[in-house]
Amino acid sequence: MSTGRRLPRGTDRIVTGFRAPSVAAGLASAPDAVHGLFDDHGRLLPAEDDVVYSRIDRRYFRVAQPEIDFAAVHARAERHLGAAGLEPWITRSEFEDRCVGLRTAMLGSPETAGLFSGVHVPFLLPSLCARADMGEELEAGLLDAVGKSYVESFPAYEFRNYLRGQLNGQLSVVSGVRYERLVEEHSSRILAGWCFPTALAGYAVPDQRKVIRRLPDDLILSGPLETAMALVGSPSLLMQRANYPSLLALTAVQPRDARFFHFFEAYGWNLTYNQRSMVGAVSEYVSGGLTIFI
Amino acid sequence: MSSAHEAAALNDLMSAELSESERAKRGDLARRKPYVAAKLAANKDRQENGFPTPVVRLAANMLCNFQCDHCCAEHYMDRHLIKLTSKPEQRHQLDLNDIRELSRQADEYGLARFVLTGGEPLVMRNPGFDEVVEAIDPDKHYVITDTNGWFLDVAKAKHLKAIGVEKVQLSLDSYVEAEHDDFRNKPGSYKRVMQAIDASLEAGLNLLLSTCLVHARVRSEEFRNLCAFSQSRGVGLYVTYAKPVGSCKDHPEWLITKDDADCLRELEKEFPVFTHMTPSYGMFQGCITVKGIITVTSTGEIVPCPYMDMSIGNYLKEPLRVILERGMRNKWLGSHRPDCLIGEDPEFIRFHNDAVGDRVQLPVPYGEGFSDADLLPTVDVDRTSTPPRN
Repeated sequence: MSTGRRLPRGTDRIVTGFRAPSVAAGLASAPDAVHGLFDDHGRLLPAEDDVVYSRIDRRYFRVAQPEIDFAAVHARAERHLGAAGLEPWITRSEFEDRCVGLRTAMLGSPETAGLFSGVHVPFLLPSLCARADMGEELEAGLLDAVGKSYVESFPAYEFRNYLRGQLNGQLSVVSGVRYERLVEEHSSRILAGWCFPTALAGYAVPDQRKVIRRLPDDLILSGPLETAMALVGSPSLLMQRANYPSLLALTAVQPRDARFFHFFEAYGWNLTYNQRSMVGAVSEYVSGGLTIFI
Repeated sequence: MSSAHEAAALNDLMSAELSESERAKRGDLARRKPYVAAKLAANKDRQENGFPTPVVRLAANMLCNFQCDHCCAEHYMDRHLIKLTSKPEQRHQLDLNDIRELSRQADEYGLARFVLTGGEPLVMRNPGFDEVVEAIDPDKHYVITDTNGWFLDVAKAKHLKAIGVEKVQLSLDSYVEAEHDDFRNKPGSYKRVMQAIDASLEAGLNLLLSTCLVHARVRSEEFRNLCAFSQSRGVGLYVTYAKPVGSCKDHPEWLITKDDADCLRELEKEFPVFTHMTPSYGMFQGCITVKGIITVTSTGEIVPCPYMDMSIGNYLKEPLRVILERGMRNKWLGSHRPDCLIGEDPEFIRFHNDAVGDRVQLPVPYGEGFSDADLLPTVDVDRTSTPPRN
């Protein structure tokens, strides 16, 4: 079911020139649109041969939808990344316009609308923190920003990066998951978009990487860069009192030891960044995510 | 012992994640029992390759000198069966040959740790405690014993050390003497535990205190005092949540909430307190069913958690390896998860308790509780290290 469908590109992709109507029109008129890719909770409906924990997610592990407050997301990004390195910046309204435009476009398409029934988190990924190496970028800025934002919101608790000092030169994009687009494009411009961190809840890691091939071409598998910024903007994403939130697997990238994948995870009321292997296993607790950006 | 295992042992000792005292303990073990130390050191690598590395809790028989309110083993004891049926256990009970065979299979699979449990291990008869330790073989396995401490004086502690026991897990269910004795239905038991702590340390045994946490204790001054006491003695405090099984079925008010569990996770920052889900020395196992623990009952049934009454197979009927690998494919048991399955997941608790019902003979055999219907699909595997050694 690989379609190669894409949102129209071109002038929509410049920093301040997003034009939602043309995007919406593009999706709606896609000749091979497939309806109903996602369930009522925004989870990709498994195909027959997908290895998943269960065909229907019982949602024992789940993530609560954070409040969508573009101003707060923008302000946190600005505050925690450090304003000095963020030029050229985009204004809060430009950020909001881009995200809203993208959302409008996706809601206008039967095949992507369902994603917004699930958890959706806006993010802003500045260009100037882009470095040649993803691990260095995480180590040098993004994960610190995650920690600052988390502790600012929850001063009694902590963010712990278990991989501190071990990231430089360690990460590469997995072939076929489209993440190289995000890596390439954010080296030259600021990206805005949406993370859907529970879209692949309960999918085995190899299958998270496989299913992307049959999804609309603008959706990419989630990785650490934009998910880190989603957490900077919405630090309460994994802070849950009553139930256990999913582990957010960042499977678009892999460390040198390919048995492992990186992830964000709550530990009680704390937030962590770490890696684990899940050789031969599939877990309802582990959720892959999808991302779209402009 | 392969060079890979020797290298793992060396890496283990050099790990920056170890405290000085832990490094000293492991170094001492490596000198005295290099084979055991090497197997222990290989556990992390085995876990990362998807293999289970459970500690084998062996309930060789079910005698006990206590009768605690919260006991999860009471329903396996003759005194309980006699009450219900007028007869003691009629099924085959493990003998020394059965235990030797269990030890052999566990060793072949690379497993490294046995915990003697019960009942109360120190009152074990036919076979007796010393015979069971010998059958397990302390030169092949790291041997730990649970105990309520009643009989653990200095002489006994030194004897345990002499026969190859490395560690004692001592139950202490309140820092308030009257509360502990009341919970354990045994006047004087608190004083005996305190004596047993001193005795164990004097004998050079590694020591762990274990405590059963009920909802009302989580934020109590008493529990905090117990944590501080453990810290002052340089001893870890292992916390098990009260589970809705066994004698606890009648006390739903004892069960902890997610909020309680998180409160305990915060205490881990201050005190040497931990649960089986607590990250330890670079290992993040979460719920350890099959992956990190199994219980072998006196009838040879393999139960994936001390608090479950459903079997995943009987090692007297099929190889331990087959049972463990089936357990790892069980949708409830093999997957990584952060919570306590039998203590916190209402759907599983219902499934478990419906299957157990009012059965007299426990655990529920494989196929009648856990079954092949629970098996997950196979995931593509690309393991990089050596498989288990059999």
